[in-house]
Amino acid sequence: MNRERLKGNLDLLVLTVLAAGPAHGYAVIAGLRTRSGGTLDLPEGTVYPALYRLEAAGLLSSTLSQVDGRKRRVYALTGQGEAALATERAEWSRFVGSVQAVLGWQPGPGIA
Amino acid sequence: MDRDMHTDGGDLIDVYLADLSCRLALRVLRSPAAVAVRIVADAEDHLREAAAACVAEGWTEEEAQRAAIAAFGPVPAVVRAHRPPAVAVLTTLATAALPLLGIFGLASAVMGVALTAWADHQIAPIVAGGTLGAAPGTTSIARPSAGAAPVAAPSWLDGLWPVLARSGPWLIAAAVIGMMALAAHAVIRRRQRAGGRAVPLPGFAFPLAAACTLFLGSALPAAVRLHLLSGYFPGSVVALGAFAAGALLALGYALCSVAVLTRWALRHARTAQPVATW
Repeated sequence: MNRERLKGNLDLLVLTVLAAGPAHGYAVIAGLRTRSGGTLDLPEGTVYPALYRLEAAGLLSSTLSQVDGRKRRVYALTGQGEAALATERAEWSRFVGSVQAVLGWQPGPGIA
Repeated sequence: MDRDMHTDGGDLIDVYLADLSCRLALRVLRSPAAVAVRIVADAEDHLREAAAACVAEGWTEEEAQRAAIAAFGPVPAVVRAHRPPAVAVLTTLATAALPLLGIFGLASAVMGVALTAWADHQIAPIVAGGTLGAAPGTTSIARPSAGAAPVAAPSWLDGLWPVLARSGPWLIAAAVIGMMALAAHAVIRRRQRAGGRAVPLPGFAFPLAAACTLFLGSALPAAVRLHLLSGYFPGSVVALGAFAAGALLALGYALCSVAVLTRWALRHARTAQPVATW
């Protein structure tokens, strides 16, 4: 899949995965790969900037925990994030519908 | 899983993290150190878990770590991905410029008054006791003739009020601009914190602030004609204060920059140790 297209929708994808419940970075990336059937292919390290950006925007919150002697940061959707996710989903549906309408456009009478 | 955190006895993930830490540290002038520490800590947690998952599937430790690192991405790509957008950096700098402008405005007003009053106090007796308009050929200031009433040296406070009366509007304008800038910065930062969007200041803000204050402090006197001995231009008091305030602030910011860079250099002198010690 085109990586630039994927980057442009990464926030929506991350919010969608976290809507299922709090998760740390590795679990978020694993969820993206699983739910996409392996088609979403981005260097895993480049997903963390999206997590930081969403947290800075107030759409995610994070908590620290201790796992195997190292600290783990778990992310969760905030109320603001849930609202933003609903908005993004609606806009994505409209966008996909519009593109599909163009791709499946049938010429009218008199038009070659 | 026990592991040695030193790269000379560490594993592939330790080497990767050390490289990531060093490359992020090189950006100390572009992003705060706390952000770099978080990036390295998250990378370690991710890589360790990814490697453990591969080991659970029967891979060797080395193969698992190589696969985890390959999936995570090369260090330069990860560092580039964390580069803050230019708009965010410029917004942060603009917000941070407000207190700088506020301090600069207030300091210019105060220092302008103080320096001008001091200059009047020090120079006025010399001028008053001299022979302004003396006969041609006279090259030195002649002493007052015997019997002439001695010129009373004005006190520093006596020179203060004429300065205030002379440059009042300019002083008020500088002080008001300074206070408005400080108030605006306080409001913006309070809103950012309330929204959980407090933005850390880039590390290169200190040298940039030093250059800006020195430029402002030098530009104002250059734009306003200074008449220190006679014929005061209304804005010369603030301009004089701006030059002095700009120089002092620039010196302060330059010292802070040196301190930040020195701390960074001492912290990373031993490149074998990764920065993240969580």
